[in-house]
Amino acid sequence: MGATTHETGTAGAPPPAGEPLDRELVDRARAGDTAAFATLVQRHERQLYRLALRMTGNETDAEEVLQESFLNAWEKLPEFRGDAAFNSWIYRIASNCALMRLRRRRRAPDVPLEPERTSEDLPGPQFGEDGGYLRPPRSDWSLRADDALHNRQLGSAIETAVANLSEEYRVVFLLKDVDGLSNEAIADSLGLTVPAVKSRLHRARLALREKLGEYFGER
Amino acid sequence: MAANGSAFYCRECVELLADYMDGTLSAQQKEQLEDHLSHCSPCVTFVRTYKATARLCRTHLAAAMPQELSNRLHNFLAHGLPPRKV
Repeated sequence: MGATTHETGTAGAPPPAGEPLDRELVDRARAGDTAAFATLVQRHERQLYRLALRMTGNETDAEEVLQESFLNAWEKLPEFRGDAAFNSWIYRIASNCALMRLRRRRRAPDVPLEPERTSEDLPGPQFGEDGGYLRPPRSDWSLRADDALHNRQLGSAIETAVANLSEEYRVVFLLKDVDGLSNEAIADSLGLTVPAVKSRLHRARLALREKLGEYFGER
Repeated sequence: MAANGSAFYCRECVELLADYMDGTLSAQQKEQLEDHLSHCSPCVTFVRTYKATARLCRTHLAAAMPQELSNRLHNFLAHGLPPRKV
């Protein structure tokens, strides 16, 4: 899409000096100030778009997830507890919207049934009884990775590998490694414990590392 | 391939990588892991490619939001937000 784009942002970054804090905007929006809510949307839409796009895999669904998420946020704002970060709260809403959409899509009659992936399907290193690798990593492709950074095939391999992660692993990986949320914020957003977040993140990275290793000819 | 003369194996090294990247290992775990890495080249390769995985994905997946999609979102919300019940 040759569109003008917003800059990509960093999740949880404080507003520029002189701009109101999220908390202040939330208070105003809670009282019915739609302009304050529009500022919150503007502040967080880029991160939510990234998440929605990578979760759903297409721009149309991502747009609908964003609309639904912010509409839900507006409606639920009176229930929002001010002691939580708005950032984590809105990620929780968007993650749920994206996951619900994926579940609805799976149930749609014209969509061929895909087997639901489980953690057992995730590839990763295997170890022998002596605690060593059954197949030790053979090549350090990290040295070539940055040279290949703008390679379209690599981009496609990454997108496919991420899309093939099961949803509960993918969402954690995206929130942490793409959007830069802390483990605590992800746990808060997804209603998980921090150890569960760390475990899913690690399993996702191991699986993606295997796939990238295949791309770089490690196997 | 276990570390020579050490009770800390490649499997433990891999299990600790997420915490290692977060900087949340205990001092003892960090020392054990770094000691293992000092004489286990497969794990050095593993750690480098594990870190590269996160870096590559972040760069490739950092999609920018199309401006017209943002415009449509704001337009939708400008007309679609129900008024607050006071």
